Amino acid sequence: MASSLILIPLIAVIIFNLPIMASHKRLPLLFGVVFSLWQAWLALFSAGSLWGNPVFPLPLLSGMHLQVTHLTLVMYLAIAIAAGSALVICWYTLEDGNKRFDVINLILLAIAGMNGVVSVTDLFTLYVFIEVVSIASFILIALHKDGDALEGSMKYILMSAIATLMMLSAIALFMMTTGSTAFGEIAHALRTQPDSLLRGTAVGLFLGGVFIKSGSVPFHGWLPDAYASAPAGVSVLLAGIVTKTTGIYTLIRLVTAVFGFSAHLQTLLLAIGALSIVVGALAALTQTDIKRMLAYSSISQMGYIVIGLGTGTTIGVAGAVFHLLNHAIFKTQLFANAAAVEEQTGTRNMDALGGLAEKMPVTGITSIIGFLSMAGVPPLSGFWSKLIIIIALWLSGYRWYALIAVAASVLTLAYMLSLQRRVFFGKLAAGFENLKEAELGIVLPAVILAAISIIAGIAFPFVLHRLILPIAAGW
Amino acid sequence: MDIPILFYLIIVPVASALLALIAPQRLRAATAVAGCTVTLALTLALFSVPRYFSVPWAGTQWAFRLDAIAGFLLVATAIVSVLVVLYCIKQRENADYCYTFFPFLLVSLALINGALISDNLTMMLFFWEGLLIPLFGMIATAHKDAYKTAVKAFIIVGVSDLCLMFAIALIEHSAHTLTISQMRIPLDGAGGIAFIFMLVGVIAKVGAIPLHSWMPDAAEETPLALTAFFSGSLARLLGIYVLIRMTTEMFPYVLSSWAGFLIIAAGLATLGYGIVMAPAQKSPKKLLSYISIAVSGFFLVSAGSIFPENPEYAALFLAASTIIIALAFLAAGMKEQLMGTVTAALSIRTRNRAWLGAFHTRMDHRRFDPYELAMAFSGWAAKCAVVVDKFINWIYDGFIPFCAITLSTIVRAFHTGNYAAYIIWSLAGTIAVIVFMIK
Amino acid sequence: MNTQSLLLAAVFFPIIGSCVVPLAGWISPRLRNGFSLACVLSSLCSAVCLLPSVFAGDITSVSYSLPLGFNFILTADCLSVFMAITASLIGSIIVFYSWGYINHYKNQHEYYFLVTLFLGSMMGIVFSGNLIFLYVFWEVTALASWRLIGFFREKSYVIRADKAFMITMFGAVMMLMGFITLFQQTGSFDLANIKNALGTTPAANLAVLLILMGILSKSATLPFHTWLPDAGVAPAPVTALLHAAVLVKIGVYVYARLFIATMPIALPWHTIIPVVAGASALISAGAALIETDLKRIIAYSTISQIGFIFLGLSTGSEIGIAGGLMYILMHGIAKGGLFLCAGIVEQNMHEKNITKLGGLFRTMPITAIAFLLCSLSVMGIPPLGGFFSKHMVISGAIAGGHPVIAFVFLVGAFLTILYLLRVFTMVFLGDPQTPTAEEGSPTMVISVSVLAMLSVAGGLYINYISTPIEYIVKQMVR
Repeated sequence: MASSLILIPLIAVIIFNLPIMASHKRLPLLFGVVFSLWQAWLALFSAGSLWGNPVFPLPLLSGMHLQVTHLTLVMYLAIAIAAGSALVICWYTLEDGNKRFDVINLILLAIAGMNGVVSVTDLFTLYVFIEVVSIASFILIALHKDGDALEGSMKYILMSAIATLMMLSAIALFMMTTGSTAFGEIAHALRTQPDSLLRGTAVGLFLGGVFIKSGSVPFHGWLPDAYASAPAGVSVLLAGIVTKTTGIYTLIRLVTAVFGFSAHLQTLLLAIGALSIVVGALAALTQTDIKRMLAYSSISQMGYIVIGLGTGTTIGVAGAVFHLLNHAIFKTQLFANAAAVEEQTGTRNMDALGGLAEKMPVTGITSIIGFLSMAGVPPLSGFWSKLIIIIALWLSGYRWYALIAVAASVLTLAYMLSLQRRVFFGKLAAGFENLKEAELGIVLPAVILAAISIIAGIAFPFVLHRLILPIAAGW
Repeated sequence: MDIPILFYLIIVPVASALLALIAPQRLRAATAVAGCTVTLALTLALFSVPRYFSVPWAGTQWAFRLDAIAGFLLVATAIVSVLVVLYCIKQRENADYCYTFFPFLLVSLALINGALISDNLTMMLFFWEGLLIPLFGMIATAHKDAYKTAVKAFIIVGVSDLCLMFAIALIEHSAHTLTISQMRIPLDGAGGIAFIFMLVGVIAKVGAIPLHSWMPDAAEETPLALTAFFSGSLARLLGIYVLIRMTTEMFPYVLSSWAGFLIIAAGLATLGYGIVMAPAQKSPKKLLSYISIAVSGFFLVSAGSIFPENPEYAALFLAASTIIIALAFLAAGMKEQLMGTVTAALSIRTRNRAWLGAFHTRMDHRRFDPYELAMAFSGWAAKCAVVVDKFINWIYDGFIPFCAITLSTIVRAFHTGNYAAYIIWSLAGTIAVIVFMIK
Repeated sequence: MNTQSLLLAAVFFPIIGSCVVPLAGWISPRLRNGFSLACVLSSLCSAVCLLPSVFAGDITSVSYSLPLGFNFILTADCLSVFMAITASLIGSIIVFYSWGYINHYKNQHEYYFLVTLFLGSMMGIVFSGNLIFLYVFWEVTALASWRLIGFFREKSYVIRADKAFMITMFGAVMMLMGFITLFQQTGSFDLANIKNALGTTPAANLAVLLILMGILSKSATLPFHTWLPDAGVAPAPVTALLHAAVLVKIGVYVYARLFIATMPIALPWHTIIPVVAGASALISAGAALIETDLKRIIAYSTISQIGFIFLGLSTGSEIGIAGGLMYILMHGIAKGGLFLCAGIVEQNMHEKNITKLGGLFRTMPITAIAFLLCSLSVMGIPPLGGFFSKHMVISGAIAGGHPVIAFVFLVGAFLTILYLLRVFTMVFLGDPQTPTAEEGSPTMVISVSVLAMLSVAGGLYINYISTPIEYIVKQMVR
C-alpha cells in the first residue's frame, strides 16, 4: 500500500503527459484532488493491518524497503491536506492553461516524491526522493520567469546544492564505515560504536544538510525569498509541506530512529530551535509583504518543532509532530488567504491594504482562525500542540527554553495582530470599494482548512489518540 | 409579620417620604405634616418605657435600644421636624424648594431616628452615613449652582464618615463586639486610634473646627429651612448624642486623660471661632450658621466635661437646646420675611442693631413659654434651657447673660475640680468678645 | 432536570448558541437579538436552578477523562454558582441594552456572536474544574474581547485592542507556566486532585507568582493595568462587560478559586498582595481624578475598585473574603450601570470629554439619577449595596492584621468620592458647554434603571445576599 501511494501519482503524471490525453486538461486536477482525499482518509481511518508487513520490498526497485510508522501516517495526512489545497489554489490562480497543466503535474510529482521520503528506510533512497521533490520545487518557483522568481529559485537551488553536497558526503561516509545506508544498520553501528569520528562527522554533515533544507536559523536565508517570490499556489505547497517533509520530517525521523539522542545533539537542537523561534518572530514583526511575514513565521514555527524534538522525551517528540501537522494546516490556510488577497487586490504590500474583511468576509474570518491557531490560542488545534511542547520543555527542566517559547508566542500574536490590523481588521483602504471576495476555488480550501483547525482543536482527544500518542508509545 | 414598634420610628417617615414623592404638589405639604406629626406622637408614646430589640441582619446583630437618652432626643427631633415643616408651609417664598425638600426631610428624619435608636455600631453607621444622600439632595436642589456647595458638604462629611467606618472596624477588631451598650474599650493603642477617628466623624457632623466649612456655605446657598432643620440643629444633636454614647458607654472615660483634653480643646476652639466670626458676617444666614457653630463648640466642651456624668440630663439639655435653637432660627427667618430683604447699604452694626431691635420686639410674642414650663420639671435642665436661650439672646441684648453662662461654666468646672487651664481660656474668650462688642 | 444537565446547559447553551447567532441573524435581526438574549438568560436560569442543590451542600460535577491529564471537568459549588449568577445577570441586562445601542452600527452579527460567546466562556471559567480548560476558556474570552474592543475598526481602536490582547495573553501564558509548575508539584491539572495532594503544604511560590501575573493582567491591576483605560474605545455595552461586570471579575474569581478554595499559599503573599492592590487602588484613583475622558475615568475607577476586592480576598480573614465576594456582585452591577449611562451620554452627545459636557440633568434625568445611584454604590454610601461590602472589606483588613493597608484603602475610598462626584457634577450639573441631547432609547434607559434599582435593592435587602455569601465562604475555607 505504501508503494502504491508513490507509484500511483508517478504513473498518473506519465499518463497525463501522453499526447492522447492532451484534450483533457482538467483531469490532472480532479485526479489530484481525489488522490489527496483518498490519502487523507487512509491516514486517518485505515486499520493498522492495511499496511501489511512493516517492511516489504518495492517491485522494480530492489533494495528499497518501505516502512510505515505512525509518524509516516501523520505525514501522509499532512501531505494530503497541503498538496491537495495547493492543487486547487494553483488551478484557480493561474490563467494560462498550459502553465496550469504543467504545474498540476509537477505537484503530483512532488506528492509522489514526498510520499516516498516519508516511507523509506535507507539514506540513499531518502536522498533520491528529497531530490525529486526539490527539483519539482525549483521549477515551480521559477514558473513565471520574472526577476524575483528567478532570484528566489536561484537562492533555493544554491542552498539546496550545498545541502545536497553535505548529504551526499555523509552518505558516502556511512557507506564507507558501515557498509550500508539502511536506517537499521546505521543505528546499530552508532549505538555499538559511539566514538567513531568518521561516523560522527557523517551525522553532523547530514544534519547540516537537513537544517538547510528545513530553513532553521542560521541557514534560513533562502526561505523568505523563495516563499515570497513564488506564485501564490506554489507558496502554499512550499510552505505547507515541502520544507516540512524534506527538512523537518527527515530531522525527526533520523534523530529518533537512527542517530539517537546524545547530549550534544540535544543541546544543538534546543539552541537552534530557540534561535529560530526568536529570530523568525522578530524578523516577521518588521515585514510589509504578507508572504515574507508568513515565511518568517514559518521559520519561527519550525523552531518550535525543533525545540520540541530537542527535549528528548516521548512527549516532546509527540508534541513536535503534532505541531508539524498543525503547521501544515494553518500555514497552508494562511498562504491560501494571501493568495486570495493577492489575486483580488493585486498587491501584497500591507501598507497599501486595509479593512479588507468588509469586502472579503470569508477570507477575513478564515485568516483569523489561521492566525489564532498559529499563535496558540485555544480552542484551536495549534494551541494543543504548543501546550504539549511547552509542558515537555518545562517538565524536562528546560525552563528557560520554555519561557523563551512562550514569550515568542506573544511575539507571534503581535505580528499576526499587526497583519490583521493592516490587512483585514480596520477601515477599508482607499481604492478598494469595488473589491469582491475571491472565487470559490481559492476560498474553499481556506474554509475547509479553517474548519479542520477548529474541529481538530475541539476534538483534540481524537487527534491525540489516533495519530499522536501512538508515536510517543511506539518510539 | 410582627414588626416591633421601634421599627415604626423609621418606617413611618420613610413611608411618608414615598407618599410625598408621588403625591401632587398640593398634597405634599399635608403628607409631610402628617408624617412628622405621627412620628412625634410615636416618640411621645414610646418615651416612657425603655425598650430593647435585636435582630440578626447581614452578618451582625441589628440591635435597637430606646432609653431615656434616646427618648429625649427622639422627641426633640420630631418636634423640630414639625416646626420646620410648618414654617415651610407658612412662608411662601421658597415654595418650589419646599416641595422637593419635604421628601428629603422625611428621609432624614427616618435616618436620624434610626441612628438614635441603634445599639449596634454598623447599624448606626448605616443611618449616619445614609444622611449624606438627603443632605446632598437638600443642598443641591436649592438653586442652579448650589450643587458646588452640596459637593463640598458631601466630601467633608463623607470623608469623616469614612473615618468613622475605619474606627468601627478597629473597634470590632479590638472589642469583638459591635453592641454599643456592651462595649468597654481601653483608650490605648487601637482603642485610642478608634476614638480619634470617631471624634473626626462627630466633628464634621457637629460643625466643629476644622471640619466646619460646609455649614456657612450651605446656610448661605439654601433657604433657611435647611439650616434650621439640619445644620443648625439636628446634625449637632446627632453628633453630640454619639459623643455622649462614646464617653459614657464605649470608652471608659477619664476627664483628665488626653481624650477629654481633645474634646474640650476642639470645643473651645470652635466656640471661640464662632464667636469671633459671627459678628463679622454681612449676611444674616451666615450669621446664624456661625452662631450654630459656636453653640456646637459649647456643646463639645460640655460633652467633654459635664455630660459623661449625667447622661440623661445631658440628653434633656441637648434636646431642649436643639428645639430652642431651631425655633430661634425659624423665628429669624420669619422676621426676615416680615421685614423684607436686608439691604447691604446699611453698615454692619447699625444694620444688625436695627434688625436685632425689630426681632426683639417680636420676640415677646413668640411662644417660648410652654417650653420653659415643660422643662421646668428638672431645675437644672430648666436653668440650662434658660441659659441657652439667653446665650442666643445675648447677641441681641448684650453680653451680660453670656457672662452668666461663662460664670456658671466656671462654677461647674470648679465643682468637678480640674480645670484651671480651661477656665482661663473661657475667661479669655469672654474678654475677647466683650472687647469686640464694645468696638 | 438533573443538576448535571443544568450544569452542561449553563456552559454550552451560550457557547453553541453563539455559533447559531449569525444564522439567526440572516433570517431576521430581531430573531438574532432575542436568541442571543435567550442564550444568556438560559445560563442565568440554569445557575439559579442549581442554587438549591449547592446550598444544600451537594457539589455537582461533570467530568470526562482525556489524554495527557487535560481532563474536561465542570464543577458546580456555591462559589461558581454565585459567580455564574452575577455574570449572567449583568450580562443579560447588557445584551438587552445592546438592542438599543448597537443597531446604529455595522457588523451586528459579529457583535452578538462575540458577546454570547464571551458570556458562555465566562460560564466555562467559573464552572471549570481543570486548570487546562480554565485556561482554554480564559483565552476564548481574551479573543472575544479583542474583536469587541476593536469593533468600530478605527486604526487607533484596533491598536488598543491589540495591546489589550497582548498584555492579557502575556499574563495568561505566564499563568499557564504556573499551572504546569503546579502539575509538577502535585501531578495533576484537576483542582480536586490538587487540593487533596497539597493538603496544608503551600503551593510553590514560583507557581503562585506566575499565576498571579495572569490574574493581575486579566483584572487590570498594577502593573498590568494599562490596557483597561485604553479599551474604553469599545462600544459601551462591551466596556460595561469588560470593565465592570465580567472580564475583570475573571481574575478575582480565579484568585478566590485557586488561592482560597483550593490551595494554601505561603504567608508573605498575604501581605504582598494587599500592598500591590493598595498601590493599584491609590494610583488609579489619582489618575481618575485627572482624566477628562468619561469612559477612561470610569475605567480607572474599576482598576481602583478591583484593588479593593483583592484586599478583601487576600487578607485571609473570613469577613474580608465575604466582603470581597459581595463587592464583586455590587461593583459589577454599579459599574455596569455607570458604563451604560456613559454609553447613553456618548451616543447622544457624541462627546467624551467631561469638560465639554454639562447640564445634562435637565434633558436626561433618568440617566442622571441612575448614574448618581450607581456612583453612590461605588462610593460606598448607605443604603446602597457598596456600603456593606466596603465596610466588611475594611473590617477584614484590620482583622487580618493590616491596619495600615486598611488606612491606605480609606484614602482610596476618599479619592473615589472625589472623582465620582467630579464626574457627576461636570457631566450632569452645571451649565451645558455643548447643546444637550435628549434621553437615550427605551431599552437603554430601562437597562440603566434596572441596574440602579438593583444597586439600591442590594443595599436594602443585604441580608438575602450576605447569608449565602457567608455560606460560600465557609465552604471555601473548609
